[in-house]
Amino acid sequence: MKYNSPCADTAGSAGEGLRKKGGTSMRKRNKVVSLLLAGCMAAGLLAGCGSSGETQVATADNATAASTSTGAADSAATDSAAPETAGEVDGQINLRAVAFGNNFDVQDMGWRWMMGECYEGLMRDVADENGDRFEYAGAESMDVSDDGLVYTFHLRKDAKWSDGQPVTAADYEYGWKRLLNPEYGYSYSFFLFNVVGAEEYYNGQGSADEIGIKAVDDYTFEVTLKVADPTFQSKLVATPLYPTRQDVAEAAGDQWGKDWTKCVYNGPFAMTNLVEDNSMTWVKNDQYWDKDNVKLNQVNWYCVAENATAATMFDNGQLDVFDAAGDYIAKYDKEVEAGNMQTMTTEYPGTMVLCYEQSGGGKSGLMKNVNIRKAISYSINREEMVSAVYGRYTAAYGFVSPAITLDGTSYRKQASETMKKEYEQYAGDADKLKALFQKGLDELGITDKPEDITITLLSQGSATENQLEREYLQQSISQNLGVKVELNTVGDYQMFANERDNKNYDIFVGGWFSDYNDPLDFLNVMKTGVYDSYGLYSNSEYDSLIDSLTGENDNAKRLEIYQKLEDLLVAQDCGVAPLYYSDKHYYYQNWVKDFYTSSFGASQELYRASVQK
Amino acid sequence: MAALTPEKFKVIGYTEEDANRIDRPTISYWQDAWRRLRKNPIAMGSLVVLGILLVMVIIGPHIKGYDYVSMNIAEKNQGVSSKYWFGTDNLGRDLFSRVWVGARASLIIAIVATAIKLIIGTVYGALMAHFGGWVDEVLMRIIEVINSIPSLLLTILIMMILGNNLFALLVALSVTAWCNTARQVRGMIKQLRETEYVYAAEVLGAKPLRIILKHYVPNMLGILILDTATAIPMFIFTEAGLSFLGIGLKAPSISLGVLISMGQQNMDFYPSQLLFPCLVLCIIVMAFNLLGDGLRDALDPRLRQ
Amino acid sequence: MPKYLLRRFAEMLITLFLIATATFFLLEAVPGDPLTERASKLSPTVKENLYKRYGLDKPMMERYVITMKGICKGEFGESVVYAGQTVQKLIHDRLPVSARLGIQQVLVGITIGLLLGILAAMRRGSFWDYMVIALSVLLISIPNLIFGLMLQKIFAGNLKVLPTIGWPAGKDLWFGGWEYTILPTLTGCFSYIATYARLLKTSMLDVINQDYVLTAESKGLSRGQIIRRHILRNSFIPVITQLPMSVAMCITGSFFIESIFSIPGIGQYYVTAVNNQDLSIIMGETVIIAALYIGVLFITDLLYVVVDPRISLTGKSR
Repeated sequence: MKYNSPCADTAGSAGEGLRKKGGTSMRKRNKVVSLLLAGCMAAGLLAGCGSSGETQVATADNATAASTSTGAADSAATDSAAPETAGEVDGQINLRAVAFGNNFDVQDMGWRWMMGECYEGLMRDVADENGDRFEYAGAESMDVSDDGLVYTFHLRKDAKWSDGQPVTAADYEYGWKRLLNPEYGYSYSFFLFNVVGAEEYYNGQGSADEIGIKAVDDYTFEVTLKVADPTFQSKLVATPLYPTRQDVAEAAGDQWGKDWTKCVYNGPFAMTNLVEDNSMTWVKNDQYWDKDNVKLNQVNWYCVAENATAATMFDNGQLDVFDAAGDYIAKYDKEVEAGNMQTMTTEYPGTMVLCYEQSGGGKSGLMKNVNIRKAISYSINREEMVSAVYGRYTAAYGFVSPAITLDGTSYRKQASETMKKEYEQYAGDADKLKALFQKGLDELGITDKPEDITITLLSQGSATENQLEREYLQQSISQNLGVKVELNTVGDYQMFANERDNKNYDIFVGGWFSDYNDPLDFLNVMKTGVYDSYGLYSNSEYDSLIDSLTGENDNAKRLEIYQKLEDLLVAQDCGVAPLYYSDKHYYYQNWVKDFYTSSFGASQELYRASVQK
Repeated sequence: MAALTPEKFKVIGYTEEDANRIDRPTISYWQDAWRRLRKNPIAMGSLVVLGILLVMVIIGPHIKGYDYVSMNIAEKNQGVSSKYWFGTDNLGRDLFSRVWVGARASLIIAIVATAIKLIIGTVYGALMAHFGGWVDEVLMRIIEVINSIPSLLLTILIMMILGNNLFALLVALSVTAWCNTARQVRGMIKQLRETEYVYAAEVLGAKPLRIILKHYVPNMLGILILDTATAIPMFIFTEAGLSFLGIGLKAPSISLGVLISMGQQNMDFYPSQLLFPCLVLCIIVMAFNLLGDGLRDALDPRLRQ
Repeated sequence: MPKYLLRRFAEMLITLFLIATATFFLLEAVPGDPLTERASKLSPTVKENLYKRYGLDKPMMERYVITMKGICKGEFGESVVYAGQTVQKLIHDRLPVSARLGIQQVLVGITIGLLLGILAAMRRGSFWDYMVIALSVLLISIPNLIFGLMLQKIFAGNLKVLPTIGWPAGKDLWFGGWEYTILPTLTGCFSYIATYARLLKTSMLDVINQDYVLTAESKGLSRGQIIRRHILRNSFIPVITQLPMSVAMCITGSFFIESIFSIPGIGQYYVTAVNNQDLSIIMGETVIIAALYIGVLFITDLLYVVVDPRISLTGKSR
């Protein structure tokens, strides 16, 4: 019997080159064959030698490789003013980001850690181990009228944009008024609602000229508030209150803030290259007013999702700073003790919470019921979760982060851990949790058995930590309540937002990272209509309590109201279920000096940092 | 010197049957192939390994009695021990159970995808060969279009449209793979139709069914078996890769690819979490590859030596 | 011959057209649109303008026509997600990266593979033969993924001699920054080594059994001459025909390797674009990669003819 490999046409059988081909030509041994062959072989051999030779070079070189640092990102700075290749530039720092943003519009606050370094507002927030401090940046000084209503900022006259134009009060005026323009729908518009005429303009009832935001002259900027507001000053470091150049923004049109090549920068650094999802380069902004104190010439960012990869980079000197988690913390703490590296650990004003779809009850229709929400919340063991999933962070039982201070001391020290008491009654007791869940079902008049109920958890991201997080939640909830938990996992934030806005979920993990140092910044998030992206919690009592804070200058009273709010939100209504408080565990190489962090600005603050090898 | 004359011989019995008798047993193609495969220790070894693996993916998760999804945070990140043969992962789940459940998923995905590939490919190829003419042209053009998009590109595209689930994964994996089978089947049938022995069978009045069963099927089975042996490792690879990129199965379903990408995170501290899934994956793939080689040799009479 | 080429060219265009059409309608089937999040807070007029800008306000068939016209002119539109990013720029920036990675892999892999194949065939049944067989089975049985992770761990993590991730750019784009390319190249070349070693070995054994080799032997030619002039030349035919396929595969990007080593090639961006639902980019990238692919396959067909005289271009026999 005959058997022939039927390989007459190989097109398409790409992966199956192993299959042999029958027969070869008898006579005409074509010259082309040998020519081609020779060519391929020669080239192949050359390349082979080339790369093996290079191995040695690299080996020998690598001790110094870190100092010359021929990073992909450095040399990636091709078509712009940035230096052509690495090795020529001293004072480079290599950093890692888990993901890059895609937003350069300061008013939109898309990407704080980038904006804090490439742009600058009136003030700068810098933190070290001793906590945050505010420094004057774009402003040299500030006058506040005795009634606390009129703020006058005296801008520094040497501040310039990266194209050489001066930063003037008009830029601030434009930026702030842009923030209020209803056309653009900025989420942070409410930051300025306390300014005279602002909310009216936003609601289409007044004109921009009536807003109490004025450029008195080129370097004097004046803002008039409706009522005195103790939180106003702390908002000044937030990027929505940064200046924006009218000519540049309008030239970019609806691509403003989306296309970085159309941006001008007034911060210590300027963006020069961005390779999507891969790397990014900033160079020192030569026009920056304080450029003499900016010691780094270039900042290279690598987008590395996995901690393990980033740790390897940090180990071999390809990274200078590493925000560690899990077992790496213990490992690097030892290195720190041995003097091989430095560390800085700080609280970071962010709280991650479980959000429920409360407007329609979610896909399951159950999330409107408070007992159901509580049962889900209490079936999650927070201590276990932070240790197993993240290997860092602090279990959270309240909404406001411990990094937020009131009167100079941490708010959390002054308030109780809101839901801890009730949580402890249920923690780890599956029967009690099931009963609570059943109570919720009864209240809703639902007769389905728990095992027939499916709760949908919306999540995004494919890094291992994301995977662990959703699996942990899935398992915890289904093990304790006996319900099915289905995952709706999407690739990135864009699609996540789509799914969220289409309400294709019951629960998801969301977070709030504070923009200014006041508990109000956390609590205001959950006010009806402020953000619709936290599960649409709505309680008129809560809203009126928030409103009652307006004009309240007594911190003791404010604290009382804050506590009431938090109690209402977290303990009584379970509008969100706090999971953990964020923190930062930075480890950095010994050659990095003056590395700071910032709670409300660039989380890796580099404006004074230097690299001394 | 005595001459041999015919008279000195006598007929001791003669039948037509005896004359045509074949002393040694007739060996069919399949018996022959099986005989040669049996002589190939590597292929047989692979077959045994695959048998063991098959048993393990069925009973493996139940041996230690641990559920593959239940967490036990108190015993997370354990090393190899008598309690946990492969240790535990960072949520304290028994890795031994998880590896076999993951291997089961990987194998099922690979086998189902292969089955889809074979069925669609065979039917499509047979249609092309049977109808010929413009049908053949059109069907062939469709294959060419599909083949002109790099398969991984198409796979990722399909996953994007259908979402992260088993069905989507199967569709995405097999959407391009069947083309090759179809081409091969088409070529084979066309070739067979022209062969002398099929012609002879037709002339001798063999029924179409007999021709299909006796001539087409055995020839095609050879191709299809080889196709299977090479397709399964390929599907396992692709699935692992997709899971690594985060576009494979979604939790709590696990496959070897998912386990590998999870294990990578803990590689520095708990290498066993990466080692075991990798090892099982490599063993499965290697066994299939070696078996495929053995089958190729066994099924190809030209290599008989 | 020119007639054939013309026909093939027309066929390629039709194929590309079909691919573009299929991709367009596949993408239409994806739920949601990429602007939902960006536009959610905008006022209706601004929103309208935004949709208009990307042509997403028009009905599907009209967009299809516009897209097709654009493709004919070589315009694929702008990225919906990354403003200012176009397919042209993407290909310009990223294709060389993927291409260099692929070419290095193919060159190194094929060279080593062929040498091993010759070794195995010449010393058939020897220790070396078994070593090559074992090695090639091992190499195709371990996924790229695992190789990549292992190499990264060993050379970057433990030995600290090579960088973990990254890729040369700028003036180093093609020749330079070699230390960055070693690990990805190695990772990718293993499968080529295995493939080509086996391919050449089988093909050489095939040739060795041919009558003309026997004839050559009986003529008293030296062993070296037989190997060079008869065996090697003829056994390279399957290798040559396989080559363009490998090149095509390598140009289109090595998704997994680019992901592990964070290499800014087109494969990596394709995954990003798919995650972002960046329709115009996915569309453009698919069509361009397919065009490259088809082009290379075309060359394969031509090569066949040049290499193997038994195949004729016009002949209908398959």
